[in-house]
Amino acid sequence: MKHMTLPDSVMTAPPLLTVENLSVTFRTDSGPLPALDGISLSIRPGETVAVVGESGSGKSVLSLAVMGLLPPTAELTASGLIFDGEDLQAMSKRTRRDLRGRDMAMIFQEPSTALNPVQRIGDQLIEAIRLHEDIPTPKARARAIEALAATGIPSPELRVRAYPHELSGGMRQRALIAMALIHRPRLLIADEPTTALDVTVQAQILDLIRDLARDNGTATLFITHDMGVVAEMADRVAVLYAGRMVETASASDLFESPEHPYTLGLLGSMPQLNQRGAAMLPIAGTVPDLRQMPPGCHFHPRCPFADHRCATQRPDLRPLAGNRRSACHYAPLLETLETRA
Amino acid sequence: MTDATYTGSGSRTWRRLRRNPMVTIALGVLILIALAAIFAPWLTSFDPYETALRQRLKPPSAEHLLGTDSQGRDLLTRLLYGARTTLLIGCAGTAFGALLGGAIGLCAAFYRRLDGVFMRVIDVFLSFPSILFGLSLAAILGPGLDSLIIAVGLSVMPGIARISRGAALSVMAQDYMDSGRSIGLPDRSLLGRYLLANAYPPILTYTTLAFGDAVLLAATLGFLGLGLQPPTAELGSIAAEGRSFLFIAPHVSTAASILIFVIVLSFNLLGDALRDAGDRRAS
Amino acid sequence: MTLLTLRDVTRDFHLRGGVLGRRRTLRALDGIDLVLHPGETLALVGESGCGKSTLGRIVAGLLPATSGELLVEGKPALKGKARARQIQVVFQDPFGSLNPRMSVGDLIAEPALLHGLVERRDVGRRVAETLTLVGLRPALAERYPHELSGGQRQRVAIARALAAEPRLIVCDEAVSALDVSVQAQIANLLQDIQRRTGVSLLFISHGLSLVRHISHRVAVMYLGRIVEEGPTEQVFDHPRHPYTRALISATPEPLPGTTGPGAALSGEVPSPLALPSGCAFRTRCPHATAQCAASVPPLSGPEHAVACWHTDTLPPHAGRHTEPTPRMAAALDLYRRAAARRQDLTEETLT
Repeated sequence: MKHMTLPDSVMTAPPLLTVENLSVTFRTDSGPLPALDGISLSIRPGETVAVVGESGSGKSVLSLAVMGLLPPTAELTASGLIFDGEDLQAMSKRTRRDLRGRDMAMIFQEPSTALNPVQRIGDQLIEAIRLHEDIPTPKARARAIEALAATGIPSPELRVRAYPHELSGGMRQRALIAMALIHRPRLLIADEPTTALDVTVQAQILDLIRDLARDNGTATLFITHDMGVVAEMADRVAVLYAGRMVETASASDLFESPEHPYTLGLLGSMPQLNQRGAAMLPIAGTVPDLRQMPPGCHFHPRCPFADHRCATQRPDLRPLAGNRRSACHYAPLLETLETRA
Repeated sequence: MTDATYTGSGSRTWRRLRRNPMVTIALGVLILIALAAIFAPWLTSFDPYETALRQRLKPPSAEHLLGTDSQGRDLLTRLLYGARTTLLIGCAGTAFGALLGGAIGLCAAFYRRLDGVFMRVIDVFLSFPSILFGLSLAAILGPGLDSLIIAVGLSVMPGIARISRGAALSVMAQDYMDSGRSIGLPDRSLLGRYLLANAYPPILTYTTLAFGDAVLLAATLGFLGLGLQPPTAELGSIAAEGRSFLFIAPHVSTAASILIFVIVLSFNLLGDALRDAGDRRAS
Repeated sequence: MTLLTLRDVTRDFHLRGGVLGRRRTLRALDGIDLVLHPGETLALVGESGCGKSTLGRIVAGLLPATSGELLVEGKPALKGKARARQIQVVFQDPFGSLNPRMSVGDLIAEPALLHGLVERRDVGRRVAETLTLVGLRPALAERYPHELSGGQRQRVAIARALAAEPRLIVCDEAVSALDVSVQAQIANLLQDIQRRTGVSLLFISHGLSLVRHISHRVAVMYLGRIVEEGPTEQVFDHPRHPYTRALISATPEPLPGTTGPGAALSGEVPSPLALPSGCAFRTRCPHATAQCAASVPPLSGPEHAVACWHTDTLPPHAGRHTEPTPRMAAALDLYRRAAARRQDLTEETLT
């Protein structure tokens, strides 16, 4: 298991990316839409941090904010957005653009929309290479073939001539990974990269991302809604709910004992953790409308443990034993709630 | 997973429309012209047909606000009655074309077996320039209000059929069509309550744009002498009559042309605004 | 008495490549035999292109079969409205499957009125009852689909299916598009409705975990054929087809350290336009031999059937079991009790 065998050097290395108190609000026709509220997180080189959440959690906004790809209607504030010791907020647009694709790269959920449909795969790769490196085309072509081969695409020297629609979904995602990793980025952001894929192909792609990240020492920000994928990929986990981080812990700690009711609810919603045939443990209600956020803890209307305090007082993300944090007034849950009950 | 919540397209389209000043202006102008045309007999004391040869080609004056034409008739009166005819041909023609084209488009999308035949026929229609098409039809059908309406209707029909088919095809791809079928609904319910109810906005938009074309075509036919026969007032034929006296009495042709221009422009502005408002990507 | 019987059902699609391209035939379903009993949940699982949705549409009467027999309660399946009375569908995308121009009340009233199951003057009461059955407030009848959340919409879709009082509901990926927490709600609802009304479910899904939880029997499909079929527990605990095994191993489990040794299968599903000879799975199968290329293995076995030439010589496979850690189990238990208490409270305040 990967997160148990992470070398100590990784755990003590200075973070590659530090996000501090990041908030993002969208201006819309019907008023401001707060998408992220005070998110802090850091990733060390070689580490995989999973960001888990459902729709409206803001997980995709987080990835776009880090990449600097937020639409102009978004307003970003942060007390720190540091990549490799440099302040991303203070950077010129130009520098930021140079960073993208070279030092930080992204893969998306739907590979077919992230590739240009009227350009051959090889040409898109060559373009990506020559964007950041001044090398002649034949040399770039060789690099492109090499990169495709590294992602396990069979007969890459033929595939470079293919158009995206001529490839299967899994092959397209491999091509996209090849493109993202072509400059050996320090940070890879994977936004639901396997959600659109079949389960046997998902397993292959997860392996591929993990292996390539390990071989290159790439830090990975892995965005997903699937706790199973989290368990498979993550060293550390951050759980997002309605724009706020509700829990963060190492993957082993999180799955050993979740310390936020929402995390618990997400796990309880997985059929594997329920007795066969018995009713599953769902989370009541639905994700709240971001424009009409409940006061206090955002999760309290759906939380079975919620009381008056949760409805009025916003819980801080506070540290618990063993380098983890939870934004629940009643964490650690077992100790506090058993005595309360 | 999308975070955006969908708020009804209808209400949003309407909100956007009201915010657009062009819409207010265009709609106001059209309503004004339509009302003036409808109530022409009450607005003017002149007879549109009685000739007064001594009053020929008088420039605008206090008595004749827009002057008189070559037969000495009050030009403003002629224009009001002319707008009546032209708008009638344009509107009835468009309505006829929209009903026929809409039906063809929806059926082509719903019964895929008809699609090939229907659309080839439409392609043939579309391959003639609509002016030429209207001209030949008007020539074949002979003079008369009905034949003009049919000619105008048949020339706007192919475009509307095309748009309807496209709109209907994208609705047909929606799961709710299958959902309607799966509860056992008969075809007529599916065509009406499901297909038409969801496909109509772009058809309506296009039809508004087609009004402009139809009015222009009606006026063109009149101008070329294929419209209603004199002395019936019609904007196109008024402009054509004035052409012979362009140098001694430019006001006749000019006034008629400006009126045609204003009507067509207003319809086009309205159609464009409707289209922009319906397009959710443009915000 | 079986509710639904499929005998040798085959479906071809004819494709034309370009204007002058030759016509090609895609065999989406090939010789499907299947039975479904009253009150039972049968799951159809498989990856994209396996034909599970095509099969669901054929069962629902939305698509004709090219050949084969479809029996409902022993008699040849009826068509159109009469079939709809027996078999209803819940679609995957709750944002696309409800007519946006109709109110929730109209959507639910429509099938009940169409099939003459309720008098027009009683329809309001019937709509309210059906909404309550799917866990929605009757006041929602006035709303339009776009005003509802994904989960609420899917409940409306289920209510609409129930309003025709069918014997069978085809759930075509009915929970796949929903948020994880809402998936569990809808799965619970389907089970609850089955207990109350005795309706059968044909549960079509690409994911295994939920199938394992709610279905009585499973049929695993690959490229238009059923490769394994049997009682859910047997199929998951003792999978006999290499493809079923691969699917089980590839499903990520929500506990670290349970992953198998890397990806279970190489390659991807071949194009259905160019099917391999013999067993369609052989190109990805680690156990394939010359025999697999030569002929198609038949689906055989009494209760737990499998279509594989080598099933008896495969190494044993115990399936996968995910046990929560003791602390997590205790926390989940705490959550379950609190949720149950909370529900009692709300039900008391409602009545």
